This record gives sequence, structure tokens and C-alpha cells, in this order.
Amino acid sequence: MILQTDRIAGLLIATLGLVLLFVVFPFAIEDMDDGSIKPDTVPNAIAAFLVVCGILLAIKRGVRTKRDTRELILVLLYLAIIAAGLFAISHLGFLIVSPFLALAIMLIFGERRPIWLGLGCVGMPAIIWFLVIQVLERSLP
Amino acid sequence: MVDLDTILAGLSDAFTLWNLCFVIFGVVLGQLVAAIPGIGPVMAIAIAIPFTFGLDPLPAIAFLVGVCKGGTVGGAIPAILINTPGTPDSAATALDGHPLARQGKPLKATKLALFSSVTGDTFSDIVLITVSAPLAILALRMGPVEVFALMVFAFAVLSGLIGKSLIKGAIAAALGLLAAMIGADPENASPRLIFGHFELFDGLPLPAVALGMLAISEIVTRLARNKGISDAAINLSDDGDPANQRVSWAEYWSCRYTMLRGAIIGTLLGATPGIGSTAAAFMSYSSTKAASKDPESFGKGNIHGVAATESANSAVVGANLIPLLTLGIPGSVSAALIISAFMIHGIQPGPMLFKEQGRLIYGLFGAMVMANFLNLWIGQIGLRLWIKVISAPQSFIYISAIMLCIVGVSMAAGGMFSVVIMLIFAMLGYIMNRYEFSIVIFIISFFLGPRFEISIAQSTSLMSGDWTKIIEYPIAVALLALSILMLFLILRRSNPTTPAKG
Repeated sequence: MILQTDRIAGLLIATLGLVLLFVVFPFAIEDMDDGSIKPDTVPNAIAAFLVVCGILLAIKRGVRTKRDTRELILVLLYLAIIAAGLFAISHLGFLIVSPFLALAIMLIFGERRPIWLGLGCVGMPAIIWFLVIQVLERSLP
Repeated sequence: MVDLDTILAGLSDAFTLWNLCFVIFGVVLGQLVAAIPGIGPVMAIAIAIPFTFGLDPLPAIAFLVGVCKGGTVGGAIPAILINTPGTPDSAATALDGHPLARQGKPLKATKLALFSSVTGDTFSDIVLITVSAPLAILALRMGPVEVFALMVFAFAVLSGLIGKSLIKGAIAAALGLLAAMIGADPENASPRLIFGHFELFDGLPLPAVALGMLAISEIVTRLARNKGISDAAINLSDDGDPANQRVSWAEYWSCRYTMLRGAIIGTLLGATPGIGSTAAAFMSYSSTKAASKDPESFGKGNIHGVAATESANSAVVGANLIPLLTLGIPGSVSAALIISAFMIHGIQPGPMLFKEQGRLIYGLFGAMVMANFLNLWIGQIGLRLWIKVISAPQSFIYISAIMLCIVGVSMAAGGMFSVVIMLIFAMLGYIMNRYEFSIVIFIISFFLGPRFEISIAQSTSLMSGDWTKIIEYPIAVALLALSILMLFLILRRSNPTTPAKG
């Protein structure tokens, strides 16, 4: 399916600007009278600028981009795996989780050679452990 | 402004065995990662910054400069050998470099790229070392109003010259500034847009934002676009003629004007925020072709084509530091990342840097000189080795980079919360890339955001809230007029009927 993506992006940007101006900023920025400018002065100006630019982008004749649903799904899948890995790391630690995280990503990517799977899942976490713990004397997540 | 004792002390700080080791490590890493299509020196710098935490400022920055400079050499290797540029700026190198490799002269082409790269880089370093201190003196005379106008000018240049659309550039700049608004406001220190997460009180951590947008978003995109396992098919074949495996002095000398032209173009464009090394390489290539008596030979393996592009794209690296060291405005993403390394080590870039940290700056210059020599030396002995190493499969390279990003951000920005921020910005980076909003503008604007807001607040205070008084500041007025003129010229140049894509 082909969409005129710039128009949609422009409308989304303009909507984002309006939502920030009238919904988010009044709620998430405290009003202070001290100082030469208020805390919401610059954010409001930026949001208003976004509204103007979004409308201009929507009006202007822009580019058409073919939607690549497969790529989007795969990107979301990889990000979801990394997010799950981060959740696990926060509970179990990097050293326990990283081999499984590496294995999952490498397998989905299509890697099947045992030597490279071994290097990715065991070798790289070991190198990171040596670098961070032994050389830099810092802690791993 | 900087006395001779400080300069000598800085240089003696730089020329130590300890620093030499870090510069060597940086150059090796830079050449290696730039030779791997998909990683590149910018991502390597972003990943490396958190690992420099425990170091003193000079070895840390020397290491990052080494990565930057090594990257200028490494990117040409896959461009010449497999017609796949390791970095965008070496795309022009492939135009003549790859035909040379196909003619059985891959070593000649890669060695000429190395020599041209080091020549261009050395030229721009000499300009940097010569002009930055006097420019910093001029910059010190600028008050908040002039700084505000200068930043507006920088945003206009960035929005207009990076990317395909001025409006999209402006939106990317606004989004970057918006992200910079998260955290305590600089005037009242009241929390803004933190939604109860007090980890955000100091703002979004730059390493998390930069790594998310530059590294993770790029890696997941490449993972998703890959169709099956593909190793880098690098084959270093030559015809056995020794003359085709080396660059003679006569050949190098015949390219002297080409390299000089490339170095001047690279230095001028590098000193202008936002233009970047890719534009410099193509501009140098086309001007060399236009000036040539034999333009038809370009694109078919002319050594001047390789010399023109490599001298220009490498000259950008040193020149990029001119606005950074004198004004505190980064000229590129790699400069923005180096600036963040300065800040991690408690150093505030800008015109005061020469006064307050003169010794460190001249130490940095010393490290840059070392890096140039090492680039040449390591490039000559490392070429065949890089070709072996970069044959590692993408799956291994990408997962290694992901793990380094997670650990690096956790170390640099204090825990898993920052890693989650990195992931959020990876998604934003992917969306922005997909819809052609420049990530480079976003990151530079994000970096400049707090200073921009402070300059607005100080200017408002200075002018008692009456912005019509800006006419009393001629430099600021001139800069603002220049910004408007720049935008007008860009709008006039741009084609209103953009062709359909896809």
C-alpha cells in the first residue's frame, strides 16, 4: 500500500505540538514567576513551532514511501527481545541473561554456525566481563 | 591568550607512552570498525565513550580522537574492495577506487586512499591548531545575545543543509530541543516533563539518546533488512605486478594539487556546522573531475578520484573541532559525541576552554598529531589484517554492538533506567530515519538545547524583556539576518516538486 507519508507525518507532528501545548505542558510543567523566562516559555515556543512546521509539511507536496510491514514487524520484534532482555537483566544480571539474549537474536537473524553462535553467546559476554570488571573495575548491570 | 609554557606542557602531557597506547588503540579500533559496513566510527565513538569513564581526560579524549581519525581511513577499504562504503563519506571513494581494484590494483587503491586521507587530515589539523585559539579570543567577546543569534544561525544551517527537506530539518531540530527540555529548567530548577521519574531531573542522558538513535536503531534496522546470512565477501586479488601493489612517489606527487584542493574543501566545509564529510568528498570529487584534462577517465579507475575524495572527507575531522573548541557548537555527530566526553570529564567546551583548560587542549592537539602518524603506520601494516577481521559475520558484529551498548549506557548514565531510555530513543531513531527526519540534527539540537535556553533567558534579562533592543547588538542582528538569508537561499534552491519514491 502506498501512502503520501509526508502529509501524514506533518499532521501527526502538528497534532503532537497541539497536544503538548494544551494537554501535556500545563500538566507536566510547574508554573514559576521567578526568573527572566518562565519554565514553559521555551517548550511552548518549540511546540508552537512544531505545529507550524507540521502544517507546512502536510500542505507541501511531499514524497510517497512504500510501507514495508515486514521490516517494521522485525524491528519491533528485535526491540521487544532487547526489552525483554533488559527486564531479565534487571532481575538476574547481565552475565546470566546476555548469552540467551545473544542466542535469541542470532538465531532469529539466521545464524546457525556453532562457532559463531558460541562466540556471540559466550565469547562476547566473557570479553565484556573482562573489560568491565577486570580492566575498568566497574560493575555490570 | 595561551602562553608558550602551557602549550609545551600540553604537548608533553600528550607525548607519553600511556597516551600513545590509547591513541594506538583508538586508531586500530577506528580503522577496524569503519571497515565493517554498518558499524562505522560514529557508532564506535558512541559505544566507546562510556568505557572512557575511568580514564583521565587526556587519554580518554585522545582515544576517541584516535577512533575518529582511524575511521577516516578504514571506511575506504570496503568501498574500494567490495564497492560497499564502510562509511557514507567513502561512497565517493568507491567511484574510482573499486574500478582500480577490479583492474588488479586493490593495494594501490587502498594505499593511495590511506596516503590521501592522512594528507588531508594533517592539513586540517594544522589549520585547527593555528586558527582555533585566535577564534576563541573573538568568541570570548560574544555575550548571551550574540550566542543566541549564533545558535539560531547554527540551527538554520543544520536544518537547511542536512537532509532533503528544510521543513523536516526544522522539525528534527525542534524535536531535539524538545527532548532537551526534559529535566530541571535552568532558570528556576523546577522539574519539567519528568512525570515522577526523578532520574530525569538532570535531563535525558546524552549517551543513552545518542546510542539509542545512532547505534541500536541502525543495528535493528540492519538486522530486520537482512535476508539470510551474508558474510562480507572481501577478496584481495591482484595481478602480482609489484607496481600495482604500491603507490610510487611520482604517483603521490602527481596528486598533490588534487589532495590540496580536497583538503581545503574538507577544511572549509568541516568548519561549518552540519555540512559533513560526505558533501565534502563529493564536492572535491566533482571539482577535481571538472578541473581535469581527462574527465572521461573518472569513474573508470583514476587515482585522482580516490585522492580527491579521501583527502576531503578526512580533512573534515580536524576542522569539525574548530566550532566545537571555539564556540562549543559541534559541527557533526562525532563532534557532539566528543563534546559529551569532554563534559563527562567535567570540561565545559566553548571559548573559555583555551583559558581554563589550555594545557588539555594542546595535549589534545598533540594526540591528534600522534594519531595522524599512527593512522599512516597502522594503515599500512593493518590493511590485510582488517580484511580478515571484517569477514566476521554480521550476526556476531551486531550482537556484540548491542551488548556493548547495554553495558556502556548502564555504566555511563547510571543503571538500567538509562538503558530503557536508550531503547525508547532507538524506536524514535528508527521512525525518524524511516520518514527521513535527520537524526544528526536531532542529536546536535538536543545537545545545544540547554545552552540555547540559557542564552534566551540571559538575553531576555539583559534586554529587560524588550527584544526590540536586539538592534543594539549589531553582531547578533547580522547573524540573524544571515540566518534568514541562508534559509531564503535554501528555499529558493530546493525543488518544490519532489519526485515520488518507492
